[in-house]
Amino acid sequence: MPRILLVDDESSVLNALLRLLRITPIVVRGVEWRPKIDIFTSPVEALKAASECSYDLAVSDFRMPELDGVAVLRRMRDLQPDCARVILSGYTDLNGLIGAINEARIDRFIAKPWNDFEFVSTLAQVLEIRALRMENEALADQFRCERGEISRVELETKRLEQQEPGITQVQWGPDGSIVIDMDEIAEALRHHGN
Amino acid sequence: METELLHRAPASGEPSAAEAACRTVLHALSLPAFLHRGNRLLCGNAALARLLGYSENQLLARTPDELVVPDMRESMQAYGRNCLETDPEPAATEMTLRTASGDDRFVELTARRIDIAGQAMVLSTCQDLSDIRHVQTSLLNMSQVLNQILDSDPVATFVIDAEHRVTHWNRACERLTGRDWWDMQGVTDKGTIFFGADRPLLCDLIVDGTSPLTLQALYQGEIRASKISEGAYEAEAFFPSFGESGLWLFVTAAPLRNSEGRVVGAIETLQDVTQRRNAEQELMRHRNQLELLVSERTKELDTTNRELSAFMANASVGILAVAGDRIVQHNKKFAEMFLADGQSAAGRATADFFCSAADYEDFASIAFPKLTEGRPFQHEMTLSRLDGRQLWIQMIGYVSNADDPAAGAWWLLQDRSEVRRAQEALETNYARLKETNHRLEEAQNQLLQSEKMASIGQLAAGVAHEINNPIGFVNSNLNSLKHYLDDLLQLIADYGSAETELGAESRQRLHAAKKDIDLEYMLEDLPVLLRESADGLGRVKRIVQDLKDFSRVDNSDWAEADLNAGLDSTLNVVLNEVKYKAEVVKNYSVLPPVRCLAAQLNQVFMNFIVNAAHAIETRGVITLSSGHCGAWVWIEVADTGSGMSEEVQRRMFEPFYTTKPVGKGTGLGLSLSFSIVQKHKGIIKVKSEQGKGSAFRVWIPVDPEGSDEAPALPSEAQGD
Repeated sequence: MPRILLVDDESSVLNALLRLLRITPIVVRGVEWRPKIDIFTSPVEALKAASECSYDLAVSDFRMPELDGVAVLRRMRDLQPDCARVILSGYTDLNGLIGAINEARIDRFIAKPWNDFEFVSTLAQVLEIRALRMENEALADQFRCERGEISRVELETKRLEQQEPGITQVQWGPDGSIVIDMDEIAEALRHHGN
Repeated sequence: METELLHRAPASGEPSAAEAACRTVLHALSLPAFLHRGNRLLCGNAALARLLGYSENQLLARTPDELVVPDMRESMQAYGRNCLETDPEPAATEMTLRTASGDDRFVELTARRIDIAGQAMVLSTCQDLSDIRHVQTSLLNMSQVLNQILDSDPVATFVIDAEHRVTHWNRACERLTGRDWWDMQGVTDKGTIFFGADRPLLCDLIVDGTSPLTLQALYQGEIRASKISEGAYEAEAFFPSFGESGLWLFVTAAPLRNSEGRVVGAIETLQDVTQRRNAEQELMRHRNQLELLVSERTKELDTTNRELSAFMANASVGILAVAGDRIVQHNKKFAEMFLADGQSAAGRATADFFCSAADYEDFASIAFPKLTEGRPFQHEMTLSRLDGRQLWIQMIGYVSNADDPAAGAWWLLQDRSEVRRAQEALETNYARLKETNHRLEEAQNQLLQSEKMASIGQLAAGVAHEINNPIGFVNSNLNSLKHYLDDLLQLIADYGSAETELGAESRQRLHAAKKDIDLEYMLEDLPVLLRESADGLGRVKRIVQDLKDFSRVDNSDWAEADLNAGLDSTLNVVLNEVKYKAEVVKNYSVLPPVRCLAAQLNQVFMNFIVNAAHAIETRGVITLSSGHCGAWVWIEVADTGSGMSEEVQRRMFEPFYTTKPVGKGTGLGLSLSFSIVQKHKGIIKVKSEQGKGSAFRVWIPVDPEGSDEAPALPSEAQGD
């Protein structure tokens, strides 16, 4: 199930986008793409969600009270490198743009007020490129596996990690329980706080 | 007795031989003589006869006493008897004989008793004293005359003899010395009177034959030999004992000589010269004083002269004496200023030092009238050295003699070329400074304005961001709404078609409800409503965009821009100022992109548009035009407003000049516009007519940065 993450401190914007995406299908490679859309007015909450499930696309506002869009998407890139990243902002600040491109490596910058059609078609383009890239990578991995460059286990691990980010890094206790490192979580939260 | 004796002899009547011999002796005598024996004469010689004018015989008839004047007969008789009887040699006596003619003869009669043949006789000889007497009388008279002369001489005079005794002492001398002649007669120690000590007087010294050298020593040079009489001396000395407080006396002393030339005395005169002396002294004092004064004056004059020449020689200004149109003299400094080494300008025409004859005439025409009035004249002008180099000279002229201005003039000349140069440099600098200051002022104003614009831009950017969010979702929502509505309308249509399947009651209720909400109208109006809302939102979007474009906080560098677009976005920003007053007509041509500071040019357009709106009182037309000519583009903002007076047109680009009411205009708009356009190497052309409106046209080169010089202006833009 494809998922999209929307972050904006103004819920009206999120609702409007929600409505838009509900009405307007995103067509990727001729296929109507009806993703599940998660919306967050808090960037921290959004990142928390991002550490729980995998997203195909993250759209963030630039200026927000807790974290700015660049920080959110940078963190998003750390967590899910394959997730496409888009900034939707009415504020055009050169430094912000530089950060967005160099650090968060965003795929698109959409100016507010957005044009609905443009918005949807931009998302479609981004997703199409992402799909292409991933397909390329999968094909390449498959090719490498066939040539014995990587093992089938590695390939499966990668696939799993793609599907459920972090699943391959879970520490198991001797009794089969899952060990949660509170320090790591605190660190992650502190990092978000920046 | 003797006379008797003699008388007796003839009485005897016989003259003895002795007697005869005696007669012969008697006759041989040249002296008058006679012989008697107390009676008649026994004999009288020829000399006696001659003396008395008697013949010898007549004499014999007379007695001796009959020979004398009657009052002397007795003494004659007595004398003869005395000789005859007692004293044979009596002393001679003076007798006065009487001649036959009755004249008197003074004689000295000497009688001697002689014995001849035993007979005593008296031989009397007469010494004729008449001449001596005459001489004596004359002498006496002379002496008296002399005395009188001396006495009546107003000059004090005294005489001494060879023994230094005073022999004469005249009245004036008495008065002078206070000593009487009687006291002084025969006195020798006259010095006490004159000097208070026994000191020889000049006359004493002369009598003593003192040498001139000693005299000089004694009188300390105050003595000199008389020019009039030989051996005489003159001296002047002060005698403290005379008069009330002493007297100055002019003393002359001359020797008196006897017939043999021997000095037998001396005469001294004393003239009171105190007055003269005092006068002389006063005169002398006065003269000395005068001389002192003269010498002082001379010294002063000398000093002044010396100072003057030193001053002239060392003066740091050129000094020049001019008579007529020629230089008489000049100092060193003048030579340094105007001449080559060693040259002199004396005798040169003053006109030689002027740059031209016209210069000289101009100068003369202003300087001479002042100088002829005797007033000093001050002037500054360019003069020329003899070698032709020009100097800026400050000159001051004075006439030498105010009573005679034609006599000539003194000129003081100072080379002010450096000062002049400095002054000119100063003036240039001042002008430059003023210009710089002006520019600085403009820059500051512009800065002020820019800052204002920048903060407006920042504000606009901030506001735009905040507005963009709601615009974003409202816009999106509107789209969604439209979508929903379409769906809803479709649904309603489906319900409508399904109506027939409902019961009559339900159908009626639905009808009522439809009617109640006027569904028909609603369905008709909804798309319009949505369209208008989207329209309005579109306008809000555009305004925000224009505000951002206009402020261009993110783009303040030279960049290519479409001026038409700039004009449009500017118009949008100020539209609310304009739209209620004027209809805006756009008359754009296609423009090439212009390299410019778009934000700044937008400010220029804004100023023009706002001014145009302000110039329109009730309602008018604002025409925005643009055009393109060669390397230039132009933008024009024209209005149908009140227009501007000449005065306003002349001053409108001055900073802070405004015709708007207080608080409405800053007076900076046009001056700022002017400097912005200048920065773009462009120009602003203004056409304005009062009551008809104004048109501002900005000409901008397409690439103002392309070359240092702006490209040649198209002919259209030239002139007004």
